[in-house]
Amino acid sequence: MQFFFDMVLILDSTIRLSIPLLLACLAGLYSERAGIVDIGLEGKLLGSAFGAAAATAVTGNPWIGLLAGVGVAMAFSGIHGLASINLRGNQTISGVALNFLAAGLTAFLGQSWFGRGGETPPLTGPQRLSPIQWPYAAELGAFADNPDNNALLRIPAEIYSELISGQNILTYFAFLAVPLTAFVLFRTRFGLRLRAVGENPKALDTAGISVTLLRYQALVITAVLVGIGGTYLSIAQSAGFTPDMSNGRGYIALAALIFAKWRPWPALLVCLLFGFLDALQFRLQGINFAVVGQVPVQFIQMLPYILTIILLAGFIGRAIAPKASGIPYVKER
Amino acid sequence: MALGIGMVHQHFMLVENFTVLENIVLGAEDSRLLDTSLRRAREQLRALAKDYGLEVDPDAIIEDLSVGQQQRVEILKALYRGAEILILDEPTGVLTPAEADHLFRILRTLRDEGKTIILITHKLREIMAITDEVSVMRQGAMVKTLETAQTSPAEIAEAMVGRRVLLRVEKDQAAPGKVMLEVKNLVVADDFKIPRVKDVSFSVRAGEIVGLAGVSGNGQSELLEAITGMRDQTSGTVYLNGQALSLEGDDGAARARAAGLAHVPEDRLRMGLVTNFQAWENTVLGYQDKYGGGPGLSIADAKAAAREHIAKFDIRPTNAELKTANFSGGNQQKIVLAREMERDPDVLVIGQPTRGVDIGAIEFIHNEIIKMRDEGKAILLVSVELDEIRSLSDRILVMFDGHIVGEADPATADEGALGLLMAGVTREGGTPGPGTMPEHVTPVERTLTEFSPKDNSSKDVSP
Repeated sequence: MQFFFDMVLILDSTIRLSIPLLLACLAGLYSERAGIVDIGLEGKLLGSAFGAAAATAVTGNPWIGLLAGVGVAMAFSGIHGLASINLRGNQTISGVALNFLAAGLTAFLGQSWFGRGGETPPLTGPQRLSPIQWPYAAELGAFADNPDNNALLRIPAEIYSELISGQNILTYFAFLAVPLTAFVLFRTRFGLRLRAVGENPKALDTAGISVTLLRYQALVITAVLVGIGGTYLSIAQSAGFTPDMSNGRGYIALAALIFAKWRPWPALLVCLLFGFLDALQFRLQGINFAVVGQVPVQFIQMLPYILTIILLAGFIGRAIAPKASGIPYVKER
Repeated sequence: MALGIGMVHQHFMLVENFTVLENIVLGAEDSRLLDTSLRRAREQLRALAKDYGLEVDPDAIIEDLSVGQQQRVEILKALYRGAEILILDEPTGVLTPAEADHLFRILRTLRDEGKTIILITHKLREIMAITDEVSVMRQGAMVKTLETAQTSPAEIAEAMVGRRVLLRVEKDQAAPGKVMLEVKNLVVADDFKIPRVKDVSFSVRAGEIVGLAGVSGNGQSELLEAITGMRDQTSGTVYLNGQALSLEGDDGAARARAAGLAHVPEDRLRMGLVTNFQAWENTVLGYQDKYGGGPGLSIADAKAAAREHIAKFDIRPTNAELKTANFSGGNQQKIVLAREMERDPDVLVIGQPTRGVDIGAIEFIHNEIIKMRDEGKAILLVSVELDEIRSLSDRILVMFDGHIVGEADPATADEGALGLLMAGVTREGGTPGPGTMPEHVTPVERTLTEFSPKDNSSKDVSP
């Protein structure tokens, strides 16, 4: 029984940890499906986290923070689009440049605006996007906590009160975004064109559809999703911005995207898996193991990354990227 | 597109991992939701397939289909968009003969249903077989429009080749020596794995210029690249001075050079020169190890050699340190020629020696080539300029569709007959002996009537 309650807690933090990953991963899915490699996801995540935290700290309204977060991601996407669509530059270089820009700019602006070593002032209470309690969640939670109640009833009560209820609105959005993405991608005209532009833009061009416009549309969706992901990092998961708080999540999201072979539902599973490994890592810290005793915390922290490498190297099979991904489109050679 | 013009490109514009149906609706979806578009398209497709005999499984993935089927998808794509005029660019280039026959049947049905079809091709046979009217385009201008029924392949060939002033080159009778370059059963595939050179054998002797004529795109480029080690051959052997050359791998070209085979590539800008380099750098490129010892490069030696080349080949301006891009086309070509010719090779392979070169340079280059021949070098010349081939060569080989379809003596060869050969009008499987060319047009005409698909096609249609 105790094991089960522990599990629910781990799953709960799994969800919290995988949300920014999931949003970044879906964001990357749109742009890569449209033929634009977006290694700048990391920078966008960081930039929008800062934008959201800064705007919220100044205005006190998290919704304005959300807008600012998406706005920052949009500006970054604009630069990326200009460099890689219009000017036909190298997309990887443009993305890496954005990452550096984000890392430097957030630290610099944070220091000069707030003077706290790059951090934004801590956000409290209504300044954060707080969890939403579902009806009867508290009652059911109390019911689950009482060991006198029927065990079989306590389990769903615990799941409802801990796992389903009490999540952030952005979390619900992220989970909704998965079926929505699957629908847009495979069931709509826009999705068909988006997939085509990442595979063979010439086919689309000869059909009389603008490759440039379509790629920009994809970048806008990317910006919205990754902007929400960054906002989640700084004003939902934490209470403010700390330098380098994205901590490589943008890169892991790209790895997850490859692992999921650029498909939305597998992307959800992979992101949850990465989140789960991360949550497990927190849980395992400080535990005495049978033979080796206390394991240094650094080793435990290594686990998710080692598993990531093993999974990516061994279990992925052949991942075929969209064919035109990373290649700027030139109308006629 | 809105005007009802549909185009079937030579290289298909299909998304390879989409289904047939998805490719057909792409860009012409009639609804925001995909399912409704696909459903309607499926019905329309069934009707089109019935009307025109264009059967393709709508749910098949493009990359699983044969080239012929993919082409059918392209045609369906155009028809789905309501095309009344269909333009096909070299449609049979990638097809097997059976697939081509099927395509012609489809095109005939389309014509009978009232569609207009524009066929762009360089194969005379196809023109004679299925067109009603033919226009000949040469050097960017429409030179002739004829009714197919009223014309003959010979007339079209003449219009294609044109009657331009021959650039006469002064040369003595060739004195061929022993065989220097021999190619046996060579098969070469292009980047798309389509065989472009199909079982080609020929030889070039010392002191002789062999000209390889043909409409461009019939395998000459691939043949040239294979002989010079720039493209891996599928099978066959190249012998240089009796020794089999090993040309496989990335350093094949280097081994060919080391063995005494010099190469003037067809496209000087793409393969012959680094235009951002100074002239002297280009004159040593590929032979740079000969200047200076070890890893060092003796720049003084290289520059001295470059100045020598510049003087000898009359390259202008005479500045060896000028960026190569700043030379005119003719002088750039001379830089390449100087580099290759001055190595004193046994065999010289030249592609398009005078493409984009001014008249004065043409004359100079032609004379240099003749001079090389008189020194006893074996020279293989590939050019799309028939005049150039005729005036320089001692023997002419005609290449069509990856085969060498004929051999001719430039002194006696009739331009019209050569044109016919270049357009693929020859007896299938026939092996013309050395120097044999139809002396007069009648045998060609006879072959034509015997083997024209126009006459065979009636047998195709009725099962």
